[in-house]
Amino acid sequence: MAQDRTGQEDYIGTLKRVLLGLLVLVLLVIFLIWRIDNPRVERFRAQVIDAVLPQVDWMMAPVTRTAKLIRDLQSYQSIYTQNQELRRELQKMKKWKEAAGQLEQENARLLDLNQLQLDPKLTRVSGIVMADSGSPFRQSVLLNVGSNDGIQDGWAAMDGLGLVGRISGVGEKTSRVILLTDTTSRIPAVIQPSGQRAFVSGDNSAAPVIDFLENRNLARPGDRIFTSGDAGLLPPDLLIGQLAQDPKKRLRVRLSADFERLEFLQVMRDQKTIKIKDTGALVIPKSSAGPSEAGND
Amino acid sequence: MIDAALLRTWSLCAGFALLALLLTFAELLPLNTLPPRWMMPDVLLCVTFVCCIRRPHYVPMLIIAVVFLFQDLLLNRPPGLFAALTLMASEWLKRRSRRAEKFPFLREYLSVALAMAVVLLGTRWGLAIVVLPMPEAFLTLSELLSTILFYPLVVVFVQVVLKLRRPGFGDLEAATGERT
Repeated sequence: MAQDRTGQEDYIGTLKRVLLGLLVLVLLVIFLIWRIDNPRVERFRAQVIDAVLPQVDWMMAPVTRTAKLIRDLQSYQSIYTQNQELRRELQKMKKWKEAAGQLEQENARLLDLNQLQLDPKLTRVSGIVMADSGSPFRQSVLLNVGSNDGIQDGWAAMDGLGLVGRISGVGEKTSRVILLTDTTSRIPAVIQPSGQRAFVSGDNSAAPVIDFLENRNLARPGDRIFTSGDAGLLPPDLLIGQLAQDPKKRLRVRLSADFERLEFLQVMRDQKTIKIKDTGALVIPKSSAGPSEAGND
Repeated sequence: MIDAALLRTWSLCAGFALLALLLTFAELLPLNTLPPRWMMPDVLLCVTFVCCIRRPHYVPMLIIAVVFLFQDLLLNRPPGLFAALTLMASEWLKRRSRRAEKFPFLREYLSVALAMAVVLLGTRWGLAIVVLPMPEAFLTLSELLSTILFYPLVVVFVQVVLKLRRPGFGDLEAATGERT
């Protein structure tokens, strides 16, 4: 009887070990497929999120709202000092408003002289932030608009003032915005007034780094940074932020958009974005292929 | 009689899956969209390991695999890698817990800490093996540390509030005998 029992346990144990091996194998194969054919698996991920998140939004939205309410209540404690600061700032703003009004008139006159028309294609879709990436290593948010609203991969997402990120991953009812602070985010930018090109690349900190700057001496902290629209990646001339220097003398971007509170985002329609359908092939220079073949012969 | 036991096992499995879903959605709440300085503990990992040691029957490996794969997909992690490592670590913990006659907390804590290190650092190395950029070392280490520090809290909660103790050797035998 005892032998029978141990025999049965052995049998179950072996079965379990085989099952464990199979499960681990399946999971690792999924990971490898993701590595090899990334766009397809990411599309699958977008579909899963699209199927799940709208179902639980009724549950998540109240919790988020309550937590934000509590945080707002905490900020009421310092309301008096804030009020004083705001008054002072308002005084300064009035001065700027005057200047802006004059400039606007001048601008309108000049546009009229040149008979320029602003790009009519640059319209926007507004969306509410439903969820963040959930993982501290990734910086992204999910919007409640998707392909049903005409959203496409690669479009720019702004808050009222500055660029927030770009769309990457679209489901029917949701879409993911990769924020500028994510480590995979690289945005071609132009620094004004010197007009230099550079990359704004996220590094999982609140202020992205400026990379590939041509001439550092021409860039000063406080310069304004816009998207350059190079390679058709994003529409040009969207405000990103201001140049700043960190203690290690690296140039960083102080972002204009308020990343602490992303609630509503505007997605800029852009007709000529590049679509990524499959994995990229190796980039091989054409001239070097010829000589190596000739060498073999 | 067997039906009732089976029903109980299944309902507790479903309870674990539901808890995992709730924890995942809690992480998704868009409360903080700034990059973090210090990482929060991975609560689901703690809960899973606690269950593996105290009630291994209620967290079968299929459920662990599905739950963590789902979390990988939802939390924008490389799908499959974290799930595979967690699955292996939790099976290892289950076997250790089953074999040992007595399992004092210190020993449990050390094995759990080792399992967590394997899962979190293994994810990092897995990314390195397939030549993907790794997250900052400081972030991974701080996540590991905070998760290890968080584990006793989960244990205290489970033992004091839910009154779930690790079954003794005889109890476990009886339970398996009843089940098969």
